[in-house]
This record gives sequence, structure tokens and C-alpha cells, in this order.
Amino acid sequence: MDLRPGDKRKALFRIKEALAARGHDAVMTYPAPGTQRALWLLLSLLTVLAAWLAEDGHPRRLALIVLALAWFKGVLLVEYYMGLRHAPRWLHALVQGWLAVVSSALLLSFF
Amino acid sequence: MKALVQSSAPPERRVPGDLAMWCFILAELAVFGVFFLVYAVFRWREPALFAAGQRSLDLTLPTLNTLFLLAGSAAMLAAVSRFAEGRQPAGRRALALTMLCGGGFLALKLYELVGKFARGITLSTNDFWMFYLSLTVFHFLHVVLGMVIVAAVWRLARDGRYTPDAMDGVETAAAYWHMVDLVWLVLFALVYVAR
Repeated sequence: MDLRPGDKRKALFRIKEALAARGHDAVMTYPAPGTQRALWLLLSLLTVLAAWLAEDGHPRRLALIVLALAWFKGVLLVEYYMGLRHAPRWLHALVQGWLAVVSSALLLSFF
Repeated sequence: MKALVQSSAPPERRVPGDLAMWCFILAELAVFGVFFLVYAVFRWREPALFAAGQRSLDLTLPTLNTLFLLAGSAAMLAAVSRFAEGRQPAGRRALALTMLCGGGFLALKLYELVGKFARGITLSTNDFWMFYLSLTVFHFLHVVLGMVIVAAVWRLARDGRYTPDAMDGVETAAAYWHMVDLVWLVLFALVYVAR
């Protein structure tokens, strides 16, 4: 059976559409471009803030603030950059647990 | 209809990238975790010695380095997203940007370390410098490995093998890169700023 040029184009269009839809589904697990930009800006601003706070200020209070900031940045990184919010719960818990144990122990060492 | 299905069913939980890499990452995190905790114990015992060492550290370079790693991670996420959309050239460009950021980190770090060696600082100078040098050099080597992995993926991506259905390689490289970034965030706060 010969396909007419019009049918061929339609078939090709349907394949392209199906591929695009699959691509679209896969994208759903990654943050949207706007969220990615906002995340990068927030993490960078918090980094500059930590460096700015370090210029002066009470040493112990500074240590606690900066370590807490690092913990918060780490949480965002694990959730959105590593994408573990969509990972199996054991993996998510292990990595966030590591960060929580290390950060809280470090915070305690400054009290 | 499609929007309804998507909003009612959250994406299926899955390991991003290779499971073997995640086992390696967990082992790496454990090693760095122990390293950080031992540092904390030594600092707790000799706060004045550690504070004196930290005061002599310039914060400009490590802050820039943190920004480099964060930008590298942002570019890595952009790369993974582009490949997942089937946009191969854009994905490769983002991977190149990640390597550029990693290269910036390595160059600044090398400059910083050479400065310390020029001042005659070695592992045996005192406990603070022992931790400073071993932690930063150990992390430096991890960034180098991260660069090698990203470069390999960038090279392999030339033939268009990373498609929305075949993302394992890119996601595995991304997982490692983000781990190196995560460790640096804690290292930066602990060794450079918290005193």
C-alpha cells in the first residue's frame, strides 16, 4: 500500500508529537527553568551573605549562623540538584540524614 | 486530560542515575562526614589555635570558589534537563559550562594552596593546617574526578546517546558532581568561616 505524501507527513507528525510528549513527561521530574534560575540565585546570595557576615560579628554566633546556612543550602541541593525528592525514600533519607547528623554535630561543637 | 493525569499521579520514585554510583557517593559522604567530625573534636579541644589559623585565611577566593561550584551544579541540572528534553547541543553546552566552572574552582584552589606552601605551611605545621591541607586537597581531588566524569559524558554525548529514554549516564555524572558540591558547602562553612 502506498502512502500519499499527506499521510506520510501526518504519520511523521504523530511520531514527533509522541516523542515530544515523552520528553515532556521526563522533564516533569526536573525543576522548571525559572525555578532552576531562582534556586541558583538564592544559593549564591546565601553564600555571599555568609562571607559578608564573616567580615565581623561575634565568632560563636557567626559559626552557628554559617553552619545553619550551609545545612539549609545542602538541603536545597539534595532536594533539587540531586533530585532526591523523587528518589526512593531510603536514598533520600540516607543523604538528608547524613547532612542532618553532620550539620547538627558541627553546630553542637560550637556551643 | 493529560494535565489531570499528571497532577493526580506524582512521578514514580526512582534512583537518579546508576545505583552503583550512589553506593560510591554514600561511601564518600561517610568518609567526609568522619573527617568533619574529627575536625570538630580537634577544634573543640584547641579553639584558639584553630581560630588563629582561620583568621589568616582570605575569604575572597573560597567564596568565589563556592560560587563556581554552585554555578557548576546549576549548569549540570540545566544539562540534565536539556538532555531530558531531547535538546542534545544545548545539553552539551551546559556540560561544557559545568567544566568551565570546575576549572575555575581548580585554578583558584591551586593558587590558594601554592600560596600556603610558599608561606612554608605543611601538614606538620600544626593541627589546624594539617586539617586544612588534608581536607582541601582531598576535596580538590574529588573535583578533579568530577571533571573527568563530566568530560567523559560530554565526549560520549557527541553521538546523541543521551535521549529522554536514556539518561543514566548524564544523571550518574550529575549525582557525583552534586555530591562534590554538597561536601564543599559544609567544608567552606566549617574550615573557612566558623570559628
